[in-house]
Amino acid sequence: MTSKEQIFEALRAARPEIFEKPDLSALKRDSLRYEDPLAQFCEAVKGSGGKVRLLRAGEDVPSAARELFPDAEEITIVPGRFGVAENGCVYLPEPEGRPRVDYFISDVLVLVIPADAIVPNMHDAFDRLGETPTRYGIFISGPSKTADIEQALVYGAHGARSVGVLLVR
Amino acid sequence: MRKIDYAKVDWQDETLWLVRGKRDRLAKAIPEWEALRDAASRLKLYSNSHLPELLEQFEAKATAAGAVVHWAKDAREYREIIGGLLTGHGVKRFVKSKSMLSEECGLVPYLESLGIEAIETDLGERIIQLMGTSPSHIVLPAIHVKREEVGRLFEKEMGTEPGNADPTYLTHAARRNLREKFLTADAGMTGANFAVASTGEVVVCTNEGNADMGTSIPKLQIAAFGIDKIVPDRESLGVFTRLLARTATGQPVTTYTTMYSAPREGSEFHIVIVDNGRSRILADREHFRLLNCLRCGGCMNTCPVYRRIGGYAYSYFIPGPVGINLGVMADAKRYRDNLSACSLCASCSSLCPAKVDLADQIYKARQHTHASAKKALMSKGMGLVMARPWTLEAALCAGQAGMKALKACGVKWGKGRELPDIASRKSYKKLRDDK
Repeated sequence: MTSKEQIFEALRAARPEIFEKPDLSALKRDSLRYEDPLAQFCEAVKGSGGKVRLLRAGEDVPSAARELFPDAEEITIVPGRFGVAENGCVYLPEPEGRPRVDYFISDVLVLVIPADAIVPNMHDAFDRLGETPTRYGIFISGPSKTADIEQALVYGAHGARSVGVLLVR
Repeated sequence: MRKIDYAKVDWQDETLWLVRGKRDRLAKAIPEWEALRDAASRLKLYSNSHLPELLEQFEAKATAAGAVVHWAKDAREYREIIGGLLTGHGVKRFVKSKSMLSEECGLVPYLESLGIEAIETDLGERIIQLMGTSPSHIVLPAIHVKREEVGRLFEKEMGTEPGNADPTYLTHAARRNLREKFLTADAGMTGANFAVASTGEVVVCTNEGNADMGTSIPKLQIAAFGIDKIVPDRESLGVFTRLLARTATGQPVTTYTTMYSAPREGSEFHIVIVDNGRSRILADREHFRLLNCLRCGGCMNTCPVYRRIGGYAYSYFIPGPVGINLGVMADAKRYRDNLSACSLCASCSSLCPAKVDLADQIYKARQHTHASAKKALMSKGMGLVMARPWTLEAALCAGQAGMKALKACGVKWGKGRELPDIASRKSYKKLRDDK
């Protein structure tokens, strides 16, 4: 018998009490919403240690990114799909034409999303993704951080030291 | 005898309580918080009572995405599968992110015995690994270590400035040191916070980005997790990701929530699914809700006993309320002493994001745990002595003299603990009569 068969046999022999799948529709319907999701998103990005601003009319992305981080030696700019108001997350899919490590290896990372692509909370975020398998996906909120030395918050543990979000109208 | 550093005890107690306070503020800002906890509990109960179906679904989806799924019924198989993958791919340097399963199964010492350099990359875990000890908390592994100790350690291991104990300076020194390891590693491994049956993806939640660095560079990626990490779908991730970081560290979310299913271009992705006693927990009518546990560590931060005694006071590798119960399920005889490290205040149960009935389980486990023969005899003797006033009086008189004599002879209460003084001079009865 393979290990898998042995595990499955043990699971069936355990005869656990059977619980039905809960219906989450009421929880999701009544979940926290914001009067101004965009303003809440910006607050949350700042709370996670990131910078955020709207692109001005006629302004291009590279110069806006440069304005956010004038001292950066190099800035990696990547497109995101949408933002999450409750926690400042930006969702990024498998990157196109570049390796995944680009999301983490550069010191300064700028994520660009449409200003109208802000969902209120993580329920809406996962509803938006649906149940169709994807190769890879990631939510990023702010720069890499740690508090492993005496609970003192330090930015720039292993990933980006600085993260900015640009909102495009 | 080891001297107790009371300032350190107070510091740990206050720091963990601050984390608990941050959790409270975030939880109170979400009106549906209790409904979220209830949903998380019911989703876990559903998943754990439908494991065969969900695991099959996960395997099919993960395989379709290009991952290779392996099954390990116990710790030995887990070690051998991972060891086999690494030696088969000629791996010399291996980077891993935090995984309590790897502690449970003794992975790092095993890989070292195979001649593989196995590097913990989470900052706290790295500190612990370089110190040659083990984590004292499942989310904050180095919570018991002071910055000066880290400074001295990094001075020796990474050549940092002598006497510099600034957390920012030390963190960035570790960043530079480990960056080189990430760039030259042959394989990277993570655990999993969730494994999604509907999509076959492994979800990893971290703050540092070490897991993401370790899985984005080497040609071989491994994710290993217990069967209890299965959740039905992405819809359920909405519930869990809202609860996890808020309860664990008092953050709205972790910096990175990464969903892996297909291997990177030109590399391999192997998934190891482990039982190692979890099916036994599922079969236990009093303890099966332990499988709801998200390993957030919230029960440790709130526990008045854990906050004061710290993780090393427990004999099982996972401390605190959940560790007491997991220890009993792993080996009741060996780990039953941990059951005493609980005041039954049930703060853990009322905070747990997936509603594990931690305190009830400890209470019930105490009922089946028979005291040792020596302790039973002592209890019986105490019962006889205390049954009549005159025997108690006589024993107290004898005790005061006897205890002094024993102490004079160098007898101790136990390892690292002196015999106590019996109430000096006056008994309660004398005090009352004198009034």
